Amino acid sequence: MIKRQRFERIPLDIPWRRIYYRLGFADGKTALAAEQQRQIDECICRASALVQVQAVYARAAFELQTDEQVGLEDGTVFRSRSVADLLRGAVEILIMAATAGAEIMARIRQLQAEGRMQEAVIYDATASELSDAALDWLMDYVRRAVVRENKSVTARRFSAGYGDFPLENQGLIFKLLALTELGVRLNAQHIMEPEKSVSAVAGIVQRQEL
Amino acid sequence: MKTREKKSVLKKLLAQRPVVLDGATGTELQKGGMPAGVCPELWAAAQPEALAAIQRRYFEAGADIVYSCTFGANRMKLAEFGAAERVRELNAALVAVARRSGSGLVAGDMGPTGQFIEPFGTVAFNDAVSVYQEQATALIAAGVDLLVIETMIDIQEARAALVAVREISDIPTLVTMTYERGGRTLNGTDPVAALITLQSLGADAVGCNCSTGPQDMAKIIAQMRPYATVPLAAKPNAGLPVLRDGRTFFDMGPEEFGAHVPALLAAGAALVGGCCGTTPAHIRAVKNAAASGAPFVATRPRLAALSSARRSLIFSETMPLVIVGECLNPTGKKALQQELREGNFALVQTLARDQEAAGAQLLDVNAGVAGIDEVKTLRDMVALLAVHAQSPLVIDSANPAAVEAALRVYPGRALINSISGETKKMEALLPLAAKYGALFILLPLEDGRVPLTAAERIAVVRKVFRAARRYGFTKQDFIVDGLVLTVSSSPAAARETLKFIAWNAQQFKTRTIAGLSNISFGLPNRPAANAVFLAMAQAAGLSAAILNPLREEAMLGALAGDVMMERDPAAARFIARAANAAAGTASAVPPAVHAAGESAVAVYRAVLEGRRQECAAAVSAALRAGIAADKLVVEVMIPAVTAVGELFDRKIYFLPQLLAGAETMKTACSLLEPYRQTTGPQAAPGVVILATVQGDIHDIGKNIVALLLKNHGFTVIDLGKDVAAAEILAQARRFENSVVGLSALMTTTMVRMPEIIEQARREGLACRFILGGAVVSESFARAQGAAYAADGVQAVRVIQGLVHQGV
Repeated sequence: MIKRQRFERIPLDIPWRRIYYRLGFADGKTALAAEQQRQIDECICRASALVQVQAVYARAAFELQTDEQVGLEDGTVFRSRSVADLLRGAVEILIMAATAGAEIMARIRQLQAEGRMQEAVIYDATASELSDAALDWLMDYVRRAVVRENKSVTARRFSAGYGDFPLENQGLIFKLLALTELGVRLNAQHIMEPEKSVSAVAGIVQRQEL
Repeated sequence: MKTREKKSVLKKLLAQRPVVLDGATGTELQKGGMPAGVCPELWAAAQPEALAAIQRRYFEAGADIVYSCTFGANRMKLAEFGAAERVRELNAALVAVARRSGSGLVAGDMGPTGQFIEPFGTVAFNDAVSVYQEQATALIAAGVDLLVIETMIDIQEARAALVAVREISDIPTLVTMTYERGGRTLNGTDPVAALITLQSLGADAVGCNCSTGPQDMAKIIAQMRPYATVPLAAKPNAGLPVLRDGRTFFDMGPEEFGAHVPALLAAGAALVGGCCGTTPAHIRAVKNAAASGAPFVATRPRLAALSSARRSLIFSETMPLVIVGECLNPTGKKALQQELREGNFALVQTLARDQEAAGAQLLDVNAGVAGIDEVKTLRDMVALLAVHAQSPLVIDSANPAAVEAALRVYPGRALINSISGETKKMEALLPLAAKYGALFILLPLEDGRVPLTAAERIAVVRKVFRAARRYGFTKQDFIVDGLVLTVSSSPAAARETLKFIAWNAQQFKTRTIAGLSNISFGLPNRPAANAVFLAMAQAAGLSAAILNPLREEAMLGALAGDVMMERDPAAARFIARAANAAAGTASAVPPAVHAAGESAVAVYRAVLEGRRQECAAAVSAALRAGIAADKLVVEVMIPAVTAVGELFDRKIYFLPQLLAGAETMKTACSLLEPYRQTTGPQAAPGVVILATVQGDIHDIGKNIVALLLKNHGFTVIDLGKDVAAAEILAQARRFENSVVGLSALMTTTMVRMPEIIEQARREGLACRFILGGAVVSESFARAQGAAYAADGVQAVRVIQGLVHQGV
């Protein structure tokens, strides 16, 4: 049975730069008055206070690894050259997901309904970047946790819906990680709800000392 | 050997020369035949000679201390291998192996549980303490000379292990953390914050292991050295990992490793060994390099400092006034009281972050609301803020049980607010402050009495200090409360408090803190009275003020006081705060707007700069000045919002500025609506139907397009998200010659777009389509015979073009 580890609180610093970039800020071009920046920063603070990042990961051994697919110990098969390429040389797969929670999404909907689009987009960008930052954190955590097993984690990760890794694979990840326990649902189009929920796979590789 | 003797042995060793620790065990065991994936402790216990050979080589190489191979011999880690019940047996057996491998000291090694401890994780703090207590008990019973808590990636787990040890023994204990490449742990703890937390909690030595190679570790040690009251330890890897053929290697040889040891010693390390990739040969090189090193000399007996999991605050004589945010105290705050009653902490998070953004360096946390469980609420608030706030916390409660619950779960060194001269308070709280290494605010109150004069308060301070010294506290470990009383009822209150603050600063040489607002109770214009009192208190030597940092005038007053007291070199902080100058984003106002008068310019600027709050007044002024509403919209506001779009196109504005302008325009339009002559669909340039296609739940981009289109006069039929093709086509039939905008964010839902377009063509509908969304490309749209827009501003232009063509 594939074991999962779940995190109900992840201490993330607000990824200010990433949020600004997501909102279209261009270094050396965008001009922002101090008062405007203060208002935007306060809005990001309020948004991040509503984000309740939860995350989960699982490690699984491979049953099958070819150039086009990888099969896991529980029978799950991911068919994707990109994923197979990422996992080439790996001894395990790391499957992970994070969600920003329902509260922030409810607030974003409310802001839109009230016509407060500026705040809505800032909240939206904050939630997106915090979800992504949670996956970064999770990879760092696993990287640190496997050091004593003489292993490491690939620098890159791959998400369903990109390249030749169809979004349909999100269903497999959803099931493997039991994402319902995080309050996440999957609709018929394989989109996770709450909207700011992300998933990915990476590889765990063996290290070797000289 | 008794614990006291063990401490003495380590102390003597440190007083002679740098102490040499051992190197890697796991990789050496693998070289000795241990297969990958097995439990090292179980394997080593079954092959004791293989382990003994490694440890013997470390002793022979010159290690003063060899770690027992018990890194993962705790209940939680062993459970992964079905050996949770073998904690005592395995620890005893593995210590015995180390003991017979040489005559040096044996450290009982305790590593991470592999789980995250609250408040960062799901494992209860007390459960983690129990796990470590079980292992520490076994190691101590097996006769180790000291304990080592190592490779900690989470300060809270290190605390749990150290609290576990300290609750059962005073045995010498070394704690080493591992830091990521950015110099912080995964949870954001920097080496100085970790040092402050761990040394105050009773670690005999603190340091760093694994993480990095010796060069970078020297930097980490150097960061800690100025603030260390205990010896520092360094156990670096054999260099940085190198990637070859998809595998990582540590390739720094013993000679090169040893060459870095003098730098580690110079940085302040008093104990040096090795971690991943190091071998007995590396440790021999360490021994040789350390032979001529200077012994550890304590330079600082105590440190007045506080820490959170992510930040530290170190008090110094010349530092600016420390600002303690008071907003997390529910007294007199109905909204916060209500949230705490409901167990809802969203406002707590918001207030914490707002106060930090406003400049608070410490956050006072109080859960004193009638009718709630204060112990649980304060603990929950502290746990939440430990994760979501940066600043160290001030635990504000009169309830010792609540204070202990909060201190236990707090992953830093907190400040207790407060311990008074009341006998029961001292008896209950001083031991708690000592156990958890907390600083405390000394409140000069006595049983049943509020001392009114400075002389009476001084007597209480001396009395509490005498009691505190019995627990090892010094003047570095507390801050005296100035005890601010109300000047309107007690005319001498300010004078006596100022005299008392000056005595603490100048004669007793300790720090002071004051809550300001009491002074002005009952007076008019309290902010002015508070500001004057703060300035006088700063002049008397006040170290910290508890105030509302969200009040800009209070913060500016405090910063101005720092300038006057020469605690803000070149007035840099004050100037930066006061300046808050606009960066000057506005482009030139067109001549036609200028010609319409000042009020028109104000409306134009309000839209251009997205100043919603100013827009109503500007619009009213323009109407009063006789500018017709239609003229204002067409000749002033539309050019302004168009200029906003152009600034966005040139990336001078980014999305929040675009939308601030758009929302200001929308507000102005709604204010002008009753005055307009040409309103309604007849006057609109066209009808646009917008929808996110069926199955897709993402609609924020589409909503931005809707807002911008409305601002340009379009009639927008927004059907929302997850909209069926039939509904979209029904609206397209209803509004002939309309433009239909379809949005999709996912590859699985964008396939709906060609289906809808195809169906419209089959029916011969005259509508035109425009597509957008993250996964949609221009080529995809063209392939469907549709227009495309990458963002909202572009969408408005493309739709204007489609309508103009009238195709």
